[in-house]
Amino acid sequence: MYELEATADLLLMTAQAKPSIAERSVETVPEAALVEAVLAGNRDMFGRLYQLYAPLVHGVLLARLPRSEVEDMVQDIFLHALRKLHTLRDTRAFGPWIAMIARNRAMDFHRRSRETIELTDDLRSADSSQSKAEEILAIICTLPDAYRETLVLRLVEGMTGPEIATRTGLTSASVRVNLHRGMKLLRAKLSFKEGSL
Amino acid sequence: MNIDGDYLWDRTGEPDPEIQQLEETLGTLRSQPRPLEIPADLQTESRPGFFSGIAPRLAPRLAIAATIVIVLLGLGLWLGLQRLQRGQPPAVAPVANVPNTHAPAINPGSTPQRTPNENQHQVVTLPDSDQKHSDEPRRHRVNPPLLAANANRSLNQARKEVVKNPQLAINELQEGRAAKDQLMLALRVASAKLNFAQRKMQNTNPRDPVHNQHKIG
Repeated sequence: MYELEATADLLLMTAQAKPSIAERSVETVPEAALVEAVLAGNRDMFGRLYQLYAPLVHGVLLARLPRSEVEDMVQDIFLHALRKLHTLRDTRAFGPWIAMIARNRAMDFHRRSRETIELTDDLRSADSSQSKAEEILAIICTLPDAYRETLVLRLVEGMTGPEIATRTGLTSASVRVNLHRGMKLLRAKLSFKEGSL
Repeated sequence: MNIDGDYLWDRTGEPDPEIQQLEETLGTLRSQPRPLEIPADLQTESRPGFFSGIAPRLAPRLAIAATIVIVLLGLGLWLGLQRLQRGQPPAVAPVANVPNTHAPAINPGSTPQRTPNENQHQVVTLPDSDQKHSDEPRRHRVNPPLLAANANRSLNQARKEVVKNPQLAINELQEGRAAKDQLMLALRVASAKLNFAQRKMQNTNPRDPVHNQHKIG
């Protein structure tokens, strides 16, 4: 049921992603200037892009991959992006582009490593707050794709809804729907878990 | 618990304590990006130009297509020049001693009676296929083997055209046919070259296993 809703939302978001980027054409998009500068040979500007978009990539990966893999993968994705930046047609769409690279990389990772590694007590963090956070994150990761990515960006990376929409290229309406539906599901799962304990 | 509040969306309005608690807990997992280490030998490719993206695959085909276009333009120009040089041909090609199958039979003993329509248009008679106009200079050369192969067909078609349009001279029509045959020959040659180049391209390019999966499996 939720999966179906999420899939429909995802399709809706995909269809609406382009108009959302087009709407931004009237505004000044700073990352477009940064991308142009990098393409012109100024590599230092890529560091600024990295600072701006590392949380987005981190959030996208955290919603899909084991936490231990995320940091290295973030670096890999940015290096790949630097190598392939010339293929980016619309310089204003750097965020959606790198988010898509991150999603594809996460899918590749799961394709390569078929076997799942279960966390044992030894592997768990000794820090109780981190342990609690990872438990909640594990619950978020059971939600449909569209919801978990939006929730991670909102709750873990601290972005607001409009920021998520701008960075990912999704429409504000889609992000709002994903946030509220995802939050509703998360509350239900958390209360169920607390009740069962 | 206020699910529909603005706090979840943009952190405005009344804070939701549960969301705040989740933010606080999950915030420990937040991205703390370490400085990006860009290897010195990392090659960044520049933005491709208009031709650079298509050059490796399509450049030979584009060159062949351009050659064909140039050949066609040249032929058209040449034909146009030939027409200009020819000037205005006579409206009638008078040829004697040739029976005209389409003209009405004329009794030698009586004077021919012409209808008013025949007075307006001069009667066009057609030469036999072996009759030559040796006194007229040839205006351009045609390919003899090609003409020999198509002589009968061209002549028959020319006769029909003359019957349809008596203003055209038979010479003009034959020349037109010859030019058309040459054009067709040129197109055939260009087509053969194109096929050859395409075959060569297919042999030189290794087959892409991803694009040819349907052929493999």
